[in-house]
Amino acid sequence: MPNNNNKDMFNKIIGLGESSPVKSYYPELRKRLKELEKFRFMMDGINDFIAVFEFGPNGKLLDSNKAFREISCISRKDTNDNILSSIVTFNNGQTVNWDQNNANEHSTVTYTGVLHSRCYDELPVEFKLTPMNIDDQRYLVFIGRDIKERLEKENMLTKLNIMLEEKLEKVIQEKLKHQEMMIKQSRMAAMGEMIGNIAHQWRQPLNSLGLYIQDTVDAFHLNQLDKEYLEEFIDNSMNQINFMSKTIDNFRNYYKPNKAKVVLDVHKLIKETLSIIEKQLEANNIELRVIVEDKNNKLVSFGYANELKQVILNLIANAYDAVKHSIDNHSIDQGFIEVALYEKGKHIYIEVRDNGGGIHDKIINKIFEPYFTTKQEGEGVGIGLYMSKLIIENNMEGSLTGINSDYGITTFIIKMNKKI
Amino acid sequence: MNDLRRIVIPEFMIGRGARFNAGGYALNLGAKKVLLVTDENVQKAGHVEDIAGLLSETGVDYVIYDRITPNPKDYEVSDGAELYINSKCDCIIAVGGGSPIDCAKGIAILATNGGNISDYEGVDMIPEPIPPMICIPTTAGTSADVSQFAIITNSKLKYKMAIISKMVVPDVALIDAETLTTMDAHLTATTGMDALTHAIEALVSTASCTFTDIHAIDAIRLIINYLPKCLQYPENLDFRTEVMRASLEAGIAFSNASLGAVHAIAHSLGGFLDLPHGECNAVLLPHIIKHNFPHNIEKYIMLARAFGFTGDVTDIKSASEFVIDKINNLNKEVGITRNISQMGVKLSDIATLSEKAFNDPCMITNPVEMSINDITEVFENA
Repeated sequence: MPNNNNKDMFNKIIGLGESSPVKSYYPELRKRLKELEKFRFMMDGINDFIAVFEFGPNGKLLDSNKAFREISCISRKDTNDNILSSIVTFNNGQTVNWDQNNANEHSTVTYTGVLHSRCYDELPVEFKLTPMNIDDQRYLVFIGRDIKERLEKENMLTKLNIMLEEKLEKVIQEKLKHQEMMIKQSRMAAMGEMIGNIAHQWRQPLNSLGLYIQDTVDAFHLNQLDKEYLEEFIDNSMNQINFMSKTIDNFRNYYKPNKAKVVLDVHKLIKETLSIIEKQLEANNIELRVIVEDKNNKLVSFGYANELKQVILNLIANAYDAVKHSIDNHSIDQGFIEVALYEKGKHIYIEVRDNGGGIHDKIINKIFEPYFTTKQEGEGVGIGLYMSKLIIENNMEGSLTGINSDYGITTFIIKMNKKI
Repeated sequence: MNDLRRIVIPEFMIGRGARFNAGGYALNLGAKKVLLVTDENVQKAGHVEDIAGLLSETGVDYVIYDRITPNPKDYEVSDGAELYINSKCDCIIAVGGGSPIDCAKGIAILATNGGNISDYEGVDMIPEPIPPMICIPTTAGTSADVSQFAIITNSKLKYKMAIISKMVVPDVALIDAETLTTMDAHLTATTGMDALTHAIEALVSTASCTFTDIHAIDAIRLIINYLPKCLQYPENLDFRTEVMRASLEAGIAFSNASLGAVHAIAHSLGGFLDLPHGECNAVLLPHIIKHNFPHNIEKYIMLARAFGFTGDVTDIKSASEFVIDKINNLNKEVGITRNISQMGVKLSDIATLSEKAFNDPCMITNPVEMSINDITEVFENA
């Protein structure tokens, strides 16, 4: 039992002091009407076209918001039978399933079509249709949106896309052309280098050959041109000529671009590469250190042999230039170039290190850019490191980095996948 | 004392054929689907069929709820409310006596307020207005069709919960004496005595006022004169109309002036033993008059006069005995002869019954405050 105070209850029984003294729906009605007004105001503020129809193919337009009334030119007081199909035409193939008596309320379907206004041009629209039940009455809510601008924008975007694609294609073509040119240039440079190298390699044997040939004159005058002499002369000369011929072969093999990726015995490849340049280093009194950790000839990778040789040779040539420069200006007394080969995890590492003074911090980030060079005009074209990086990273899925250590030591590291 | 009052009486139509306006009223109240609340006996009498036919004619849908027993129970209210909500009803028409009408009021409360009916027990406990409600009484006594009372039995605790709120005053009462002829003699008698008790308790209530007094006195006069005649000539519509009017006037009086100890004790008794409410009232009435008489002499003398007392108004004892005799005779005349022990009350129940009666809101307006001992004494004498 509620323990109301008796006096209080007495007053309430005789109609005084009750919490709800008036039983009237009017205040509630006014509240609801106000809410409805607010709701209408809100709906009228929406740019989408909103309308309510009776549910069914011949369902009449019952109510609409301001945007809908303005675009369709159908006022609220319009007494014509405005049915959905007289207001919008669905785009090809789209229809409303009017049999969805059991379909869930609020099962919205989105369509596109054309809205037929009474006073404006046809308007492309996207619209949602949602069935709605109030009591036992079934309605269809139409929420439409002007998509004229969107369609125009989409068209424009498509055009723009095509234009962009064309432009991109042009840029790619230009880049390819440029790369081709670079390759040509690098090949030219390499050719020049080859000639230089051959010339350098040949200097000694040519000199020797010259000496042998001149000696024949002396021998003739000294009556030493006997069989023994001739045999020795031929032996010596042929040795030199064979050496020179072998030099050409070496270089030609080296500069012939490989067509296909092959299994690379990296250790052997390094040996071959070094054979090209070791004489040059020896002649310039630059120590060549080779450190190989290759147990059981396991250092095998996959790629283009000549290209890799070209990269290694390029790194050694750069090192040679740096070291020679440092010796010439007396920065160092003894120069060295170290080539190290080792494996770590799934990778093979080739390091080329020199004590040619290091790379200046200001330029270390630019060394792999095309046409960047620190050499005097005429000495380098600045595509060596750029091409090297391209070959290692684009064609052989490896990486090429350069770092400075203390005491003017520079290290370039080639990282390649080990072939399993 | 400030005599400021608020009197709430619903719109009503009274007269033969009033019930045939149910369709129009339903339509006026915006009904689309009506919950028709009634009970089996009223159904058998054919009144429900009449109303259902009227609704169909006006194009108003309806669903019938008739699983209601006399002294309607809280679970019957819950079931009805569930049916109302599930059937998406928006209006209630109650056809029948006090039980269907009170149950319909309970359903109406839950329809808009939710919860359990026991949540709304007491005075002014209902926050939200109920749905539109039309009442068509088929008995002349309870006057639930015009009152701010709804009495629902708490089935667990076995007592009658009094719900008193202006919220449960129906919108319309269609009071048609033609429906009364289907009542048997016992129902006529008990409902008639209920109306008499309403009128007497309203008259002597501490919340009475001139306006309610006029109707109470008129109701008393009409019942004394016409209730026995109704029993003698059950088909006579003129007599029935007079008792119907008496019931309405008693209803107007007690709804606004409230009741007293008779009803407080009858609610306790009826809820405990599921007894006819009118019979409980009739049996208790003389005992309470005896107890109350000295505490509102002016009103009880008015009552004595209405019963035809012509003696000396200062002779309170004679006046009191006169009235009690009259009521006892009337009870006999209409066939109410049991005392409460014959009705099933045991001595051992009296303490519980007394406490429940003491807490009933009807006790608030009794001419004199009654202690639990006073109530126990009444039980023992009755």
